[in-house]
Formats: sequence, structure tokens, C-alpha cells
Amino acid sequence: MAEKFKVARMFGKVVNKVKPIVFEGAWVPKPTSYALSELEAKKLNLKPVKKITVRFDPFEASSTNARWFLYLTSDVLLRETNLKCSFKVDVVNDRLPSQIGVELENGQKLKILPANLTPLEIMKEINSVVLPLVPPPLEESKIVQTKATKKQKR
Amino acid sequence: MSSWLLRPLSTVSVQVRNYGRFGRKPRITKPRPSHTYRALVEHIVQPKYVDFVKSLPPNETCELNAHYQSVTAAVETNVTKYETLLAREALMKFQSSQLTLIFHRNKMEGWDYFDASLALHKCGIKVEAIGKKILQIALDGTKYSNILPIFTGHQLIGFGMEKSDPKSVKAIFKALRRTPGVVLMAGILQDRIMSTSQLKSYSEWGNKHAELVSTLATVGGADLSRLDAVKSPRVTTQLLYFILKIFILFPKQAVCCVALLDGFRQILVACVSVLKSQFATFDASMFPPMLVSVPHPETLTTVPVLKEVDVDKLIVLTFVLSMVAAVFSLMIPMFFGSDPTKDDGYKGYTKPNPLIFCSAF
Repeated sequence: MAEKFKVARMFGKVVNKVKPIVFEGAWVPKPTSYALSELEAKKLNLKPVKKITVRFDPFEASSTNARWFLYLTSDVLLRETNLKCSFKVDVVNDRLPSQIGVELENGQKLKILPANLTPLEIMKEINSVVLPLVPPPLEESKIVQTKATKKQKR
Repeated sequence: MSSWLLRPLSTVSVQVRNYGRFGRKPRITKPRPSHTYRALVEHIVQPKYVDFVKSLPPNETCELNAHYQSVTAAVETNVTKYETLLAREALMKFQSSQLTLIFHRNKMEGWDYFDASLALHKCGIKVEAIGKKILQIALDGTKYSNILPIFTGHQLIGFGMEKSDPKSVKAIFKALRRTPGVVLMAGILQDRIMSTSQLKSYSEWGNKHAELVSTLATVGGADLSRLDAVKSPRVTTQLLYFILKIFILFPKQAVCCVALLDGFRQILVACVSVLKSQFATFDASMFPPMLVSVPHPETLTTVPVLKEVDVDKLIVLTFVLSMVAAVFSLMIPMFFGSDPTKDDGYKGYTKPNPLIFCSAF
């Protein structure tokens, strides 16, 4: 449905100009930080990561973000990027804010306190550190020519 | 011509209905744009549904404003009959189960979830995924309201209707080692909220309780009767006689020593008897309650966390106390025996002269 209409009279004729449609379709609500963090988690690659530890107190307020991070990193496809990467979960009872620890292969350690961060910010921080260290994919090895393939060519 | 007149009229009307006036099929997926005036009227006539909350001015949409909070609360809490039914069933399960466990659910595939639920089913736990809205409706205002802060999403609840002894809890921990998709967070046992570490110590308590009871019965308990029998004024006078011989120059100090020793003996008796009575019946009540009331996460008050019971230290302490009590109970009759001036009923038995022991010192 066009938004604006122009009716012009030129030399006694009625010329109707209809503008193009700007928007068409269903109105979708703005995606939340949880949905956007899921998209960020799909970009993550755990090859340079050695160990991930998540420590939280379930009765503490900041445990929701830690638990969401656990939920995202428990994806099968993400874990298949590095099967040697170990995950440790500490459920404590000390009412202290939760912690996320990421240990990399090159010795670097990343400590995140998810108390005042949104899930999107947590994933972006980790991606900014981890993704530059991901090695490039290997080139496809050359196909070895066998006698059968050579005969087919002839 | 007669055949044309005799044809049925239904065919004529169907043909007209399907293809309209001009005999063409109407384009439904890609309709022709309507005339300008018709399009204008259609655009004006479309209804505009305004969101009441978004139409409010910014001073009223402030989150601290009570009016805004009341309006949003009324809109969000729209409870249906089905939800109340589910909430009632959930509350019944909470009340009827002897052991409830609360898990965090990770992202896992269907067969992994089936394997985890099967492993827990073998331990006597039935796993269910209940939403946080239904749990809020079910547990709000009940004695389980203190556990609501955990339910923020991705949770599983396990109900153990039959077993709640330490052996079964140990089996549950063994099964959870092979299920990384399920993480134990807390549990409810005998109307007490227990953390994972407390549940683990409860599961390990089964063997240690037997050790403790045996130490109390054999070492401490056996000598308790001796200590009780020795509680007589003769003993204190004999003690005084012995000590006066040695500390004859300091009689006042001697009296103080006697009083101290007698008091220490009484304290030992009381400690061992208290420990024995406390650990006679093994119950979750010996664990301190995790928290009587859990504050809302948004409050800034600090909540005291009670320390857990250290079982190994308790056993060592009771053993040491009982050994000391045994030594004292043996010392007193060994060195003093019975008063030779009074007749105890012994006949044909020569009693040792206590003066010989005193002269030796």
C-alpha cells in the first residue's frame, strides 16, 4: 500500500503518481540481547581455547548470565570445533558474584564477571579475543591420480 | 436449440461464479493495484490499534513510577485456567516428594536428554521440565517460596518419591558424572534447602555415621559408666589426701587442683553424653539449615552463610575426648581404690594399704 499520493493535472489529463512501497511484511519485535548473543556464539571457534570454567551461585542474581553462557557453550557444533577443550562447572554457596574463566593455548587467561554485563557483551568480548587466534582452514589436498582415472582420461 | 434449453442451470451459475464477469481466473497471489481513490479510502479506513503502555507519556513510563508498575503488572500476569491446573499439579509433586533436585539444563539433543532422564530414573528420580511462570504461580506464598530465585530458565526438576537416604543420593551423584548436559544446583530434603556440597556430604555421611557411633559406644560409652559410678565424695577426699601428701606446703593450691580436676571430669562426661545423644539418630536436621529465608536478589543485604559440618574433625574430637575421659576414669580407682576404714563387703581379700602408695611418692 503506497503511503503518499500525488494527483496532478497536466493538459486536462489526470496523472497519478504512486510511490514505491517502503515496507511490506509482518512487524517483528526488536531482537533481545539473548537472541543476538546466540548469533555471536555461532561465530565462536574454540580451537585456541584450552579450558573454560564457570563458577556461579544459583541463589545469586548474576547467575542468570553465567547459566546462559553455559547454555550457549554446550552446543554440540561448537564443542566439535575443539574436542580437547575442557569445561568445568563450579556450583558454590558463597553468595559471591559469578565468574567465567577462559584459558587459551598460548597461556593467556580471560576472566569475565557477568554481573553487570549483558549476554551479548560477554560473547562479543570473548569473540574479540578468541577469533583472531583461530588458525586458517587447511587447503584441500591434491587428488592423487590413479591408474583408473588416467585410463578414463584416454 | 432444444438441447441448449434443457441443459441444467447449475452449470451455468458455477461457470459464472468461478470466472467472474470477464471469464478470467482472479489473481490472488499478485493482485492488481487498485484505483487511486479506492486505495486512498482503504488506507484511511484501516484500523489503528494503539498500545496503551507505549502511548503513555515518558514521566509515567518511568520504571520507578508506581502507576506504570501497576499497569505493566496487570498486563503481564494473565493467568489462564490451564496454567493454574499445571501449577496445582506441580505443587502436589513438591509436597509429595521426599527428595527434590533442581538441575540446570544445558543445550543437548533429544537422545542425550533421554539418556540423562533414564539414568536418573534408575536412581528413583523422575525428571520434569516445568516453566518458571508455572512455578511462580505454584510456589508463591507457600513454604517453597524461598527457592524461587533459582528458577530463571533452563531448569529441570527431579522428584524422588520413595528414596531419600544417603546411598541413593550417592548413586545420583555417580549417575550425574556421565551427564554433562545436566548440572545439579540445589535440592530440598526434609523441608530444608540444601546446596550441592551439603548434599554431597550427606551422601558420604552414611559410612562416617557408623564410625562415629562405634567410637562413641566402645571407647567413650564404656567408660561413661565408670565415670558416673566414681562420682562420690570418698573419691574427692582420697584425692585430697594424696595431693596433700605431695603439696603439703601448699594446701590451698591443692584444694583448687581438686576442684579443677573434678570440674574437668564433669565437663568431659557432659560433652560425651551430649555428642552421643546428638548423633544417635541420623537425620538431615543435624545439618544446619542453608537459609531460613532467602532474600530477593535485588536487595543489597548480606546473608550469613552457615558453615558445613566437618565430619572428620568431629570424629577425631570425640575420640580424643573419650580417650582422655578413659584415662581419668582409670587413674582414680587405680591409685586410690576404696577407703580401708569403711567396710565395702569384701571378705577374704586383703586390700592394699594406700599409705604404701603415698610413701612411694
